[in-house]
Amino acid sequence: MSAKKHPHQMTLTKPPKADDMKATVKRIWSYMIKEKGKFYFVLAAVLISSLLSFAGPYLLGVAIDAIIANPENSRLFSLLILLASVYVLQTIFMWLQSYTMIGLSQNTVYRMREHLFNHLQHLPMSFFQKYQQGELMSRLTNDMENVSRTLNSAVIQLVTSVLTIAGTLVIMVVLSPLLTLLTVTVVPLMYYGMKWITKRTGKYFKEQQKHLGEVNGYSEEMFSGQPIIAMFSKEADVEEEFSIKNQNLYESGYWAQVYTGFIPKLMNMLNNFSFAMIVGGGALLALNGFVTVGIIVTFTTYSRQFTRPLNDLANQFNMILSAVAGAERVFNIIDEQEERVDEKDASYVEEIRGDVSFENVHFYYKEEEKALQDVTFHVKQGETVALVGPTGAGKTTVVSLLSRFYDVSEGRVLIDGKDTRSMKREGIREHTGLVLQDSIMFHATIRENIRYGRLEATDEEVEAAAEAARADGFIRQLPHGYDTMLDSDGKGISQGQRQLLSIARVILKNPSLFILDEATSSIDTVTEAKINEALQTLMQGRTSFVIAHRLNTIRQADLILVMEHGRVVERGNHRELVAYGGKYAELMGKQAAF
Amino acid sequence: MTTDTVQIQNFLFLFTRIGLRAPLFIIFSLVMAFTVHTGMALILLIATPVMAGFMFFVSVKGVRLFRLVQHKLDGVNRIIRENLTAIRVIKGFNRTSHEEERFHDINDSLRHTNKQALWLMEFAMPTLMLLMNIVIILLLVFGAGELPTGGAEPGELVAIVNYATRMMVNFSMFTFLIMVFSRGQASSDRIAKVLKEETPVFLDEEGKETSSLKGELEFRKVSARRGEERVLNHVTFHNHPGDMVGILGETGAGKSTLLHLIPRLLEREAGEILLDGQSLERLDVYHLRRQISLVPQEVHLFSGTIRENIRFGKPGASDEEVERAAEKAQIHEFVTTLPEGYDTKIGQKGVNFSGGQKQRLSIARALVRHPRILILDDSTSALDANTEAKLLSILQREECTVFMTAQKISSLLEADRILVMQEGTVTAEGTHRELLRGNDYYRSVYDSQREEESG
Repeated sequence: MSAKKHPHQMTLTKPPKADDMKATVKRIWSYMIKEKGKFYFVLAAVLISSLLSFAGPYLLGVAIDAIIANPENSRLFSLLILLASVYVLQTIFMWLQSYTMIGLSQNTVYRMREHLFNHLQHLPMSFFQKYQQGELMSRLTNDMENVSRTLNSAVIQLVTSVLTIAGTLVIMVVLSPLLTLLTVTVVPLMYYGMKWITKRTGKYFKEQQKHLGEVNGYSEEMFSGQPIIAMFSKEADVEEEFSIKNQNLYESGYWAQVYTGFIPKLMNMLNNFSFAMIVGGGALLALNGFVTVGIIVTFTTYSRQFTRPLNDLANQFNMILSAVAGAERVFNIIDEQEERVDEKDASYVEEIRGDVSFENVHFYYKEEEKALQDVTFHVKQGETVALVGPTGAGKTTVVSLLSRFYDVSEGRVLIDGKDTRSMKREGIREHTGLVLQDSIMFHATIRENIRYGRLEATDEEVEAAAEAARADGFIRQLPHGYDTMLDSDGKGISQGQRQLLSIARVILKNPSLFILDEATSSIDTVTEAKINEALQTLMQGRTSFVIAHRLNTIRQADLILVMEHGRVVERGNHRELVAYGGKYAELMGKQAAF
Repeated sequence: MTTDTVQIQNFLFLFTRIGLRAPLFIIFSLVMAFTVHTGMALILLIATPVMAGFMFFVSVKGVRLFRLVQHKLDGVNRIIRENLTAIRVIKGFNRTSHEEERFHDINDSLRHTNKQALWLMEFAMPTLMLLMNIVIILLLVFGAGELPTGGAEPGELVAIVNYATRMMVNFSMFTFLIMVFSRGQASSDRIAKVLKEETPVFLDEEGKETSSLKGELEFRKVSARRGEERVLNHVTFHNHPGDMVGILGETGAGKSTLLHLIPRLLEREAGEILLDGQSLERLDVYHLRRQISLVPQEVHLFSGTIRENIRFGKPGASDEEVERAAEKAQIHEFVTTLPEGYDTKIGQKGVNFSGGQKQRLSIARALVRHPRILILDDSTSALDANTEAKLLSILQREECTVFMTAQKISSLLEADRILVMQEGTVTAEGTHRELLRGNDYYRSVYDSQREEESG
C-alpha cells in the first residue's frame, strides 16, 4: 500500500479509457449472463414497480378530487381499494427486484472472486515476484468489494432513474402540457448548477483520494516500524508527519464535502422553486378551469419524482466509474498468463527414484539477467547435495528448476534419466518435499498444518510424523496440544518450532526428493539439536538438495556445490574442497578455527 | 484501519446531514399537521412510533449481520494473503485444488451472509414506504368521512397528505442512514478496540536531562512482565563502562526483555536499575534513548534510499558520517558495488536485500548516532563468520558499552563478560574462560556447538 514502489516491481495501474471501460463492463456482464433470466426479471420488475410508482400519485390525485367533489361517492371506495393495491403491488415488486438483484450481484461477485483466486493458483512464480504483495492484496480485496457494492444497487438505481424520468415526463405531458413546461424550466438551472459544483468537487475528491493513499501508506509503514521509531525517539517526528498528511486529507475532504453539501441545498431550492411555480401557475390555471386541484397535487409529487433521479444519475455515474476502474484492475490479474501447461506428451510419473542430473543448464528470468549459467552436476539416488554461496548466487534458482517452478532456458534437468519437461508438474511435485527458510504456516490447527503434507492422513499418522520430526514433545506441552491454532504470521510458537512442524509436514508426505532451504536466523541450541536429528531422519534414503548455512549440514553432504554469480565455481566433498584451498576453504576458515 | 475510518466518516457525514435533520423534519411536520387538523394529525402521531420501532428493529439486526459480513470478509482476505505468501508451499505440495476448496467455502459463506444483510436492508425501504402509504389511505378514508360534515376542509386534507409524504421521504432517508450506520457500527467497534489498547506508562515522567552516559549499568533483583507472563525474575548483574557484555541463552530465556529494559521500551516491575549510579527512571526517556542504539532481532527498514535509512539514526548526519557508519558495519563495500550506491532505493521491508545485508544496514543505522550504549539483539545471526568477526572487533574498539545476545558462543568470544540466562534469570556471569571452567551449562552448550561445528 506504500506509495513508493520497488524499482523492479511493475505497477498494474493504468488510467481507464472509454474503450477499456466498455470492454470492462462487457466482461462484468459475461459473469452475470450465467443468470440471464434473473437479470431480465429484475428489469421487468423495475419497469413494473416504476409504472406503479407513477400510478400511485396519479390515483392519489384522482382520489382527492373525488373526495372534494363528493365525499359520499360510491366510486370512492373502489378508488381507495385500487390505490391500496397499487401501493401493495409496488412494494412487492420492489422487494422482488432487490431480492433478485442482490442474489444476482452477489453471485456475480462470487464468481469473479472464485475465478480470480483460481487463476491466481495457476500463475507462474514470476508473477508473485513481479508485484508487491500489498498492491495485489488491494486489488484482490478492496477493488472486488468496490465492484460488489456498486453492482448491488447501481443497476436498479440506474434503470429506475431513467424510467422514472422518462415516465414522469410522459405522464406530466398527458396531464397538463402547460404545467409540464413550468416543471421542466428548472432542468437547465439544475444542470448548470450541478456542473458548477462538480467541477469543484472533482478536484477535491481527486486530492482526497491521493491524500488518503498517502495516509494509508504512511501509517502502514510506521506501524510495522514502531519499535525502531520508539528506539530512535522519532515519535514526535512521525506524529508531526502524520498530522501534516492527515491535515491535507482533512482539508481536501472538508472542501469536497462542503461543495457536495451544496448539491442537496441547490436541489432543495430548485425543488421549492418549481413547487412554487407549479402551485402558483396551477392556481391561475385552476381558476380558469384548465386544471383541477387534484392535478396540482399530483404535479407537486411528480415534480419531486422528476428532479430527484436527475440528481441520482450524476451520483451513480461517479460510483460506477470507480467500480469499473476497480474491475479493470481485477481483470488485469485475470489476464496474466497462466503457468505454461505441461507439454502434451508429458506423463504423470508414478514413482521417482531420485537420480538427478543438471546438464549445461542456463536460466534467465529476463534476457539480460542470467540467473544460472552452464550448471552441470549429477546426484545419485539417496545422496545429499549442499548448495553454498552468497545471496543471489543462484542457489534458490537451482532448486526451483528441480520442482519446475521454472523451466530451464537452455540445457536439461533429468530425473531418473528423463527430462523433467516430459513429466507433469503435478507428478514431480507429488514426490518432492519442501522445507523453506521462513517455515510457512497457515491459519489452522497444528494438526491441520502438518496434515497439509498428506491431506488424507489419519490423526495417528500426523502424530507419528510429528514424533519423527521431534515436534511431538513441544506440541504436547501446549495447552491445546495438536489443536492449537496457529496464525499465518507464525505468532505463538518459535521459529525453530515452526521449522520442526514443516519438517513433520514433509515426513508425512514421504517424498523421494527433498529440498531444504536452511533458515539463517539463529535458533536456540536445544531446538537446533532437535532439528538436526529430525533432518537426519528425513534425509535418510532420500535425494536431498540443501541450500546450506550450517556447517554441520554442509560437511555431511556427498556433494558440495559452491556457487557464485549463477555459476558453480567449486565442487567436491568437504575434505576435497578444504584441501583445494579455494573459495570454500576461505568461507570455512573462520568456523574451522573455532 | 483506514477502510474502517472511511466507513465511519461516511456515516458521520450522512448523520450530520440527514440524521439530525430528518427527525426534526418529522417532528415539525407532525406539529404543523396538528395546527391544521387535530384528528388527521393523530393518525400521523400514532404511525410515527410504529415506523420508528420498525427502523430500530432493522438497525439492530443490520448491525449484527454486517458485523458477520465483515468477519467473513476478513476470512476471505486472510486466505488470499496466505496464498500470496505461501505460494511456493502450495505449489510445491500440489495443494492448488485444496486451496481452491478452502477459498470456495469461505467465499460461498461470505456470499450467503452478504445476501442476507443486503436483503434485510433492501426489504426495509419499500416496507417503510408501504406503511406510510397505508397511512395516507387511512387519511383519505378519514377525510372522506369528515368532509361532508364540515369536520375538515379540502385544503386541510391536501395539506395533511402533503405533510405525510414529506414525512415518508424523511423516513426513507433515515433507513438509508441506518444502512450506512450498520456498516459503520462494525467499523467503529474495530477502531474502538485499537483505541482501547493501553499506551505504556512510564514509571517516572519527571526525568532529568542527562549529560553524556558512561554506560555503567547495574541491575538489582529486576523483574519484568510481558502482558500476563512474568518473563524476567530477580536479575542481578553489574558491568563497567565500555564493556562488551554478551548474553547467552535459549529462546524464551528473557534476553530480549532484559535488553528492552535499558532504553525503557519496557518498564521493570520490581527491583532497581541503575545507570551510571542513578536510577534509570530518573532519566528523561528522550535523552536516554538518544544515547542508546538498539538493533532489534527483526530488521525493519523504511522505504527510501540506503542513505536515508542510515541517516534515520542521526538526522542531519553528513554523507561522510553515513559512509563511516556503513564501513564500520561492514556494508560500505557492498553498497559501493550497487549501480546507484547510497542512493539505491530500499523496497518495502527491504525485499531487495538479503538477511545479512539488512542486518548490517540496521547496524549502520545504529552506529551513525555514535551511541554511548549499543544493544544488538541477535543482530548478527545472518552474517557469515568472517564478517561477524570483523564487525565485533570494530565494536570492541568503539567508545561505547555494548550489549549483545547470541545463540552461538563463537559470537561472544570477544565479550568482556558473558551473562548466562536461563528461564528468565541470570544464572552465571564471567568471561568465556571463567564460565568454561566453572559453569556446567555453559560448558555443555559449548561442547554441543563445538561438536556440531566439527561434525
